[in-house]
Amino acid sequence: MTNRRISRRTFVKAVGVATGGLMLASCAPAAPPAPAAAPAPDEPAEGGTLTVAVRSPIGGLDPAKIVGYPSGPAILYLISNKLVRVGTDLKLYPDLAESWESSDDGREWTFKLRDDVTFHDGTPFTSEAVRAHFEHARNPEVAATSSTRFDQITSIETPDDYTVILRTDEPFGPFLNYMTAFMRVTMSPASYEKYDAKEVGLHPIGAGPYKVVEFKPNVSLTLERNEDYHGGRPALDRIIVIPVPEASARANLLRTGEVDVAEDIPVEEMADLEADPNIRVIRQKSLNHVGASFNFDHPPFDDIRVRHAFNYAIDKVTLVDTVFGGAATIMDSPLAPGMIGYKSIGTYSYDPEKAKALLKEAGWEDTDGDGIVDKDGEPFRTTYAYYEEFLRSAEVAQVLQSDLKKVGVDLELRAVELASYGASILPERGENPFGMWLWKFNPSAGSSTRYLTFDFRSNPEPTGLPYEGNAGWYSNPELDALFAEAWLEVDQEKRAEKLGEIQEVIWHDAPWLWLYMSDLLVGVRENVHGVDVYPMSFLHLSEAWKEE
Amino acid sequence: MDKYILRRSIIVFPTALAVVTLVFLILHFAPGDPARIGLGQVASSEDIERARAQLGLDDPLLIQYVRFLTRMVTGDLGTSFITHEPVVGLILSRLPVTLQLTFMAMLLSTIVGVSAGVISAVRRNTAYDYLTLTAAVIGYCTPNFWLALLLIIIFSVNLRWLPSIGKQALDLKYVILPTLSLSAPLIAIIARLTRAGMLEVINSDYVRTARAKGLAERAVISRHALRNALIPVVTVLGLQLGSLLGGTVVVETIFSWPGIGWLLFSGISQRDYPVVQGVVLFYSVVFMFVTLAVDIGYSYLDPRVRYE
Repeated sequence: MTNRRISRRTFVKAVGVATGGLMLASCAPAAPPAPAAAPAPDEPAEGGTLTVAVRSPIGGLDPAKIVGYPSGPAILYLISNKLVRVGTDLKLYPDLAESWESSDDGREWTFKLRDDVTFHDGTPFTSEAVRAHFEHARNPEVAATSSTRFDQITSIETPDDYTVILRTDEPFGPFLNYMTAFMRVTMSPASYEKYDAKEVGLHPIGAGPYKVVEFKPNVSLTLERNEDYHGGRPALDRIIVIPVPEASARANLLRTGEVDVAEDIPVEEMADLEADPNIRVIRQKSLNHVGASFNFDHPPFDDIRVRHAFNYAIDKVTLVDTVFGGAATIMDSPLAPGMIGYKSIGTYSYDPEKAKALLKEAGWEDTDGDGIVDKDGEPFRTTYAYYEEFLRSAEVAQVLQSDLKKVGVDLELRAVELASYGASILPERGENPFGMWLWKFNPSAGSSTRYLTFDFRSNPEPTGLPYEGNAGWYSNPELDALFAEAWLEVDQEKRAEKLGEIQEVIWHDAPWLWLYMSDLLVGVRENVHGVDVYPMSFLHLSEAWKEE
Repeated sequence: MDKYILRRSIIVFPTALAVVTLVFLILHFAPGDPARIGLGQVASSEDIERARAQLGLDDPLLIQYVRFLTRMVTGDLGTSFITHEPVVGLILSRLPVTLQLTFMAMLLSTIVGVSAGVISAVRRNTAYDYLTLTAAVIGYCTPNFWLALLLIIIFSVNLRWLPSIGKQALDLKYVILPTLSLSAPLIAIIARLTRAGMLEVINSDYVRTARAKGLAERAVISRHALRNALIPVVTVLGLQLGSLLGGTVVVETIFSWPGIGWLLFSGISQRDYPVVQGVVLFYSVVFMFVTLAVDIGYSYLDPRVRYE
């Protein structure tokens, strides 16, 4: 795998058109490579306080019940560790576990634990901490989700202090990916005894490089170096985390130097921040798949020709350039590059003529000359739902509307409030009023199988609420069979092969209008080094250091 | 007079009940399920059902309402779904910084607004007057989130004079920008009202009499004219406290000011029902009592009110 942070590109400075809200930016053709930034000193300097502006208020830091996504997990990673770690390169690394192996039947996983780890409260890390971790996640009072409980694990054995054996009834393909999820961050078992199950999130005690000095939920968090960290002495004296939900305010704090790191800076300010000599913008390709899900219960979206026509009708290249200033990747598979088993399948390249032809084949033609195609006297009108809080979703919606207009489809846009978005898009079957909606998925553990089944596996019940994210009621039995096999396949290579087939089927069926994955943008002051971003949107701060 | 106060005070109770009921109903009929929000996007329907039961959201609405009322009467606003702290404690701990901000904004608005209004009225139709009026229109029309960002860009980013984050509520330099953003519309309203009131009073008979008996202009303005011109200003000041409190939600969020507005913002974004309910109730009750205080204060300023 290559280093996934792409080099900075120079952009012709964008002109923001206030009225349309559209950012017009164009990629300079064959831009010369940006001059290399001044080389950072090799040796991390010690000391200093790093102030970080995050986007979501962090209400609690219990890994089983994190409040404030995606800022919460990023901060949790400073406070404690997991058995298995996933790097910003999406590879797996040993962390609290030195090594692991699975049995031949794929039902038993044995982890050998490190014996030199101590939690911030002095409790030694042993296999009992792992047991306590799972027991807490399964405590009914915590009311954690099924993937947090890790229901597939049916038995936890601790033959000695530094060995843990986890068993599943069936072989479970994405087992290791699940172990790397942020919910698997392991906290001090003593904290579960000391605090009420619901309140442990206010008193996070981990084994990580930084320990909590003061936590004011939703207001601020102060961390201090853990002198006894098993992974070596951390560089910074202190880290202060403040939530600043307003994106421009975060960018301004970075400009004034009041903060050293600003999470998730707005794409429309990217060029301006990059031009500031005191600021570096870190760009990371994300796993955050964004598309428009089709409602299969709303004809004609049950017709594959119509879904294909929509996919050909959108000019994704222009969309990425104008709306994201180039800071996005066009999807070419249901999976993001870098994920396990990712296979590039090809894009539905912009071809309005082909789109029109496909619509015509499906019976949609403009017979009355009003610019809207019709069938049996009915014009093609449909609605698209989105929520404005999501990065540039309104601008994307406008692009969809205008591009679809060009092939004769009248798309009505509906902005839905974020808090009610889930309920509007995922009602009982038959009650969803929309033809299409903004849908996205960010696989927080980087698990391909998990993500694909979440959105594309048939719902087990033919009525009622959709089981997970398949709100369009897409269903392909051939695909379901492939999923069943992939779930059971523990061998990573064989699983990747299965995933390749799965991606082909989904891509061809086009249950989504495939769009893009927008880059993650993080701003840091020039004297801050070692900050990185996980493709699953979390900041990586544990190796950060600061030149004073 | 005591009768008037008594009558006004009694009305507070049915109003409070209506407010409590409205708050309860609005939140429950607002789209969005707190159980689902709490669990995030990746939640199965069984998980959601379990969370609903745990939060008591699966009981009939009437039972939830009665439970809610009983708790209100005992001063229990519930505990946060998110942090599990009592809501009353949360509000009380955030109250001082919000009061500080609101008080500063009130003070600034009154001083600047009244002075600008009086000078404007005294020198009416001069360049100063037109300038004040124009500034007032702009100040009133500027949304405070935009003004806040603009002030940050000018005073923090470009001039580097002031911090753009309110992390130390006690240091004056952290207070300036949030206070300015919050008070701009109120300054505008007060300036215009004072000016209008003054103009009306300045032309009245008793002011002419005061001048005729040889009083200094300064004494005429401050002792005779201003007192009467301020009556509508006092009312509006009281009523504007509501919009000031509303404004704190925006201003506190932008400046990371850890007050009640910020508490409400995080409560809404996390769909933390008890916190949202508690804060909205708190705001409503404050508003009710301020209105009551204004009515009573008004009756002192203008005795005619009492005998109506």
